[in-house]
Amino acid sequence: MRKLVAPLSLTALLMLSSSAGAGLFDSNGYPSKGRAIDQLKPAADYNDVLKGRPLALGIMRTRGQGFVPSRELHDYAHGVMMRLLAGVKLPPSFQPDVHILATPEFAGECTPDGTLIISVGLLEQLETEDELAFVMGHELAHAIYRHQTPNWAKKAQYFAVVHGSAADAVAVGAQAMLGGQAGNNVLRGLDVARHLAKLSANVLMPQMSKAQEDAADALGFDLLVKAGYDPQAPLAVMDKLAQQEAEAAAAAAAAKAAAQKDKGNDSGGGFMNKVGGGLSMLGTIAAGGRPSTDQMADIAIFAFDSAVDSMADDATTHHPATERADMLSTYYFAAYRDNGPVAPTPLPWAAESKSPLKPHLIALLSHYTDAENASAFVADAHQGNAAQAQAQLARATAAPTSDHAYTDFVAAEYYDTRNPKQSEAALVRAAAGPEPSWEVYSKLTDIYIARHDYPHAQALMDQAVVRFEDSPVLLPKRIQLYVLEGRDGDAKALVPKCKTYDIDELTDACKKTAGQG
Amino acid sequence: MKSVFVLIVMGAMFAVPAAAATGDTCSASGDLVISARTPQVDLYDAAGGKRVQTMDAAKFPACTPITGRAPNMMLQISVSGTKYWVPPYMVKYRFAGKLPAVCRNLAMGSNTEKVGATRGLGEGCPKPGAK
Repeated sequence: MRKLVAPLSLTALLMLSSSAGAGLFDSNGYPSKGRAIDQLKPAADYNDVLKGRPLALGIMRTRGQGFVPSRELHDYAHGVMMRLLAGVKLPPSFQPDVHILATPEFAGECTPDGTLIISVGLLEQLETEDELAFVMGHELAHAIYRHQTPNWAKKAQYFAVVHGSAADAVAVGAQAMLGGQAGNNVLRGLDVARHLAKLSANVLMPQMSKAQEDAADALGFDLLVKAGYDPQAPLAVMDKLAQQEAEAAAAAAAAKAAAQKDKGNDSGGGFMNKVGGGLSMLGTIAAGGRPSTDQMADIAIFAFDSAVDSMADDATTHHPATERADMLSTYYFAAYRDNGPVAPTPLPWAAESKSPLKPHLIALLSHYTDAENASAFVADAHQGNAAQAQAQLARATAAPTSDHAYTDFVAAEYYDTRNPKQSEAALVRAAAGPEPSWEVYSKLTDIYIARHDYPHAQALMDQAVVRFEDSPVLLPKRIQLYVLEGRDGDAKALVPKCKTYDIDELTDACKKTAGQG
Repeated sequence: MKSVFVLIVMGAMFAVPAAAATGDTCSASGDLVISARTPQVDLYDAAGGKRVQTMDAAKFPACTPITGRAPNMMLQISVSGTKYWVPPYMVKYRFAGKLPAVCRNLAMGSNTEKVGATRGLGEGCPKPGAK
C-alpha cells in the first residue's frame, strides 16, 4: 500500500524539455517525430543522484514488508533490465539496479538514483517477460531522464511518516476486529484509514507530470523493441491497467455514495471539525496511541470531502490506460509499423519456461501468494477459513521464504490472538532474516515493551536505526522506548531531530511522546 | 509540506480515474474488434506471419468477431470471408470476459491503491467484515 502520483506541474514540463531536448517532444511527452531513443541525450553524470541511493533504499525499506530477499529474483529482474539497456549509450555513472517490493500491489516505480522498484503483485499478474520489460523500460526512462525532483527524499520521508500512520490505523482496526470488538464504527474506521491511506499516497508522494509519464512510455517502448521483446506487450499491460481503473472508478462511486449516506447521518460539526478529527487521529497514532473508533470514523468525512468530492481528472499523473494505449499505438504506427510480430518470452515461472530458475521462483512466488491469501482471511474471515489459512501459512513460512518479512508478518498477524508465542516466533524469524521490515521491528518491539523487556526492545531499535538509514518513521517509537526506559534526556534529545524534517505531525508526535506536548 | 492541511488542499488534485471512452458502439456481444485504431490496419496471414494486406481505417469492418488470440496478442478476425490476424495496437477491441478480481490483503493494508505507473488491486473486493 504505498505510493505516488503528482500534480501536473509546469516545473516538471520544463524539466522534461531541458533534459530531453527542447522542441523535440510534443506537449504529451512523445517525440514530435522519430523515435525517442534516437533523440536521447542522457545526463553526462549521474553521480549526484547515485549518492542518494542508501537513503532511497532506506526509505523504500520502511514501506510495508520491504524488499524480497531473493538473489535469484533480483538476478532475473536485473537481467531483464540489462537486456533493455544493451547498446544504449549511457555514462558509467548511470548504475541502475532493481529491487522487488514485498507487496501484492500492481506496482512499479523508480527512485532518483536509478533503482527500479517492482512489486510482487506485478510479477504475479504479468503474463510475459515482455510485459515486465515494458514496465521496467518505463521506469528506466524516468531514471535516464532524471524525472525525479530534487526533493524526492524529503517528500518520500513525509509520505512514509504520514502514510505509515494510516497503515497503523488499519492494523489497529484489524486488531480490534480480531479481538471481537468490531462494531460499525470500527468497520467505518477501517474504511476511513484505507481511504486516508489512498489520499495520502496520491497526494504526498513525489510525483511526475503526465508529460514525463508519456515520455517514459515512449522511451520504454523503444527500449523494449530494441531488446527484441514483443511490441504488443505494452498493450497487454494497458489492458490490465484499464480494467483496474474501471474497478477503481466503480469502487470510488460506491464509496462516495456510502460517504454521502454517512454525511446524512452525521450529527454535525462541519468540515473543519472533521479535519480536526482527522488530525487528532493522526496525532494519536503517530504518538503510538490507539485512536478511538469515533476518531477513526470522523476522518471518513474528511477524506471523502477533501478528496473524492474534489476529484479533478486532469490532476492525475497518468492518462487513463485506454488513452495511454492509444498514444502507444500511434507511436508504434509511426515509428515501428514495419516491425513484424515477435514471439513473447515466457516468464521464468511460466509453464512453458525452461529457465533453470523456474523451480526456485515458482516456490518463492507461490509462497507469497499463499501468504496473500492467508492475509485476506486475516482481514476478512469470509475470504477463506482457518484451516486453509494455516495450511497456506505453513507453506508460506517454509523454505525458501521461511525468514521473509512478508510471509512471517502475515503469520504473526494470523497467530496474534490465536497463539501469541507462534506469532512472536514468526517475527523473531523475520527479524533475524536477510530483509526484516520496519513493521516486523515495530510489532516485535511492541511485544517486548508489553513485557517490559526493554533491553531487547532497545537492541531491535538500534538495529532498525542502522537498517532504515535513521528514518524519521522510527522516531516516535524510539522516543517512546527511551521514556519507558527512564532515559528522559535521550528522549528529549530526539525531539529537535524530529523538527528537522519539517513535518508537523511528526514533530507533534515526538513532543507528545517525550512529554512535551 | 507543513501540515495535514496542505494535504487537504492538495487533496483537490486527487482523482479516481474514470474509464476512458472506447468508442464502442457495437451492439453484438462476445469478443470483438470494434474498429480501426490507426489510420491503416495491416492484415497478417498468421500470428507470427507476414503482412499480406493493408486496409484504410475507413474501410476496415467494424464490430468484427474475434475468432482467435495468439500468445503474442495478435487477433484473428474474418474479413470478406478470409481469416487474417491483426496486431492489437492497430485496432480497438473488446473482450467479453473479465479477469477475475484479485481480492487479497487488507490486513496488510496494501492492495487498494494506485501505484506509480499502475493502479492498485482489490477495489472490487469484499470489505473487511462485510457480511
